[in-house]
Amino acid sequence: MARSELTGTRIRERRLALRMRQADLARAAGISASYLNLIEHNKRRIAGKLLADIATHLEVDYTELMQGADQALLETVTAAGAATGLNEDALTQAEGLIRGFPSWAGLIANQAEQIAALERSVDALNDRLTHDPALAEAMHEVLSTVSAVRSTASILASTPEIDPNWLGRFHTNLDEDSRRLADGAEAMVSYFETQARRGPGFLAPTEVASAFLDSAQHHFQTLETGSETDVEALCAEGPEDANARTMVRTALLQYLHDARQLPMQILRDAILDMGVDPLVLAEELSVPLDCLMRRLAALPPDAPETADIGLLVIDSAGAARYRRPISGFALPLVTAGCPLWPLYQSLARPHYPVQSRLTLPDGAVFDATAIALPATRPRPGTPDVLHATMLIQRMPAKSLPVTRPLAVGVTCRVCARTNCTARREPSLLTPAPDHPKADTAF
Amino acid sequence: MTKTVLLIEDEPNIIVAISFILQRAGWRVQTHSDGANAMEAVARERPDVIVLDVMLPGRSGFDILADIRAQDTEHDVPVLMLTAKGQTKDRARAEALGVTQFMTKPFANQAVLEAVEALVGQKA
Repeated sequence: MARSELTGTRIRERRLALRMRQADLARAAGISASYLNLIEHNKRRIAGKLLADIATHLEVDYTELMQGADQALLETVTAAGAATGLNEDALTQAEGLIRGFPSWAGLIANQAEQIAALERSVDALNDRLTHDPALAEAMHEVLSTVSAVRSTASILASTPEIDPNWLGRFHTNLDEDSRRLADGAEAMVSYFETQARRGPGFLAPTEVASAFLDSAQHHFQTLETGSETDVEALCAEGPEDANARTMVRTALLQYLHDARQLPMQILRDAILDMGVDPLVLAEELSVPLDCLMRRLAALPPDAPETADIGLLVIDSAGAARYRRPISGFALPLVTAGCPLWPLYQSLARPHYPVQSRLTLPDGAVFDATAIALPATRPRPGTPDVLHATMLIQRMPAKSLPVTRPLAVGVTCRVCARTNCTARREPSLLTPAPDHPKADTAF
Repeated sequence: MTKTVLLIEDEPNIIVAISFILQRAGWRVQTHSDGANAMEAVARERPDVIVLDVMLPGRSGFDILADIRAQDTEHDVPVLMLTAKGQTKDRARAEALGVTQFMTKPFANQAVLEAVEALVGQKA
């Protein structure tokens, strides 16, 4: 409800309660009766000294007449002061500021709201840096190149007498690095221009839904023994975006179904007995492998295995449907992953699990287990809809044969591996003079 | 006696620049670019200070740091981690693994030199 409506109505209600005539109050406040009438019928805004004077004549506190936007203004200004470290005495002066300098108070409130909006944008960008491997790797590349340029330039500037061999080497390095930097910066600008067109702090519904699930650390205690009603209760506290909420509901209904099929305590007891090899656990517990892997990804945050487990579920087109992140193995949400992952191999052989030991370009080693299964009941004349599920484990599964890890990446654009038969596009990280310049853009 | 720095870094032009800075200051600089067998270089060189990148081919700097701290010898050698991965979680991870000092790229030459000199003899 708008502030002026409430404030004007409250003035009128209070005046009538005191059996005071409109003309008398107007005279006392130094305004015309017709103007007061407009205020009381919420056709004119009132604030500052006039509102304070009327409050005095109505024998009420200024804040009792302030509702809606005025009250919100007081709260916003006070919160802005508290956020910048003002002490209690200073904070109590906010009311006087609004009364005496309503325009300046409004300016402070507007700026506080703008700061909050910018902070939300920064949070969104920070989230991107964590979950968008293309951006994270491009940033890494730019920072590394800037380091080399800065260090080399500093040497040249601070060393008057320098050996000609070193001098030539540094000049060559500067030339190389400046080219790399130009390409990297161009790619970054292209990326951020795209973001700007989408609007500050914009996140796709998939990202919003994923952020909600991440915030719950992918464990929902109420659904362990809950019902569809509990799913709806969680959705009610979930994303405001309708599309994102639909995605969350789908994920939580799957969670509920899985929890009924494999209670958490049974899974945890089995882990204590047998470890966390998903193939062994699925066999021993007689549950489908994809369900077992989703339950592993739903272990409580305090379970010792939780930090070492990630999960990615995709559809037949390769689009992510569910992602539980794992530190050190970037699982893309909006881009395609590495074609060499077992996740994609499993789509070629539905129903057959694929296990591999993987090594990323940074040397980290993970075990991956994947299986593709029909998501719908097969019907004649209707294409099969497959969902592929891949579990990532930092801790090597003991039952896996000790084999040479399969060299994979995160996604082609940020993978520096050369001679990869699965490469679908040039890498930002590899010098590619034969590649058209557009290939370096995001 | 000349002190030795082992620089484990895969960016060739950064290797050149840091080597130049440290050698000019009187350090013996050994370099190594592959994460996979970095521990062999540590055992071979027995450095007084290690400057360690995070993103390395074959093996991450975090894993190498963990191995350095877990081994019987050289476990307390000072390690300066020099990385573009400067997010809070990366710093926290390095500290949990026992890094002696953490520095983010881009860096100032003088800051690297001062850090290395300050780390000599400083056990982890």
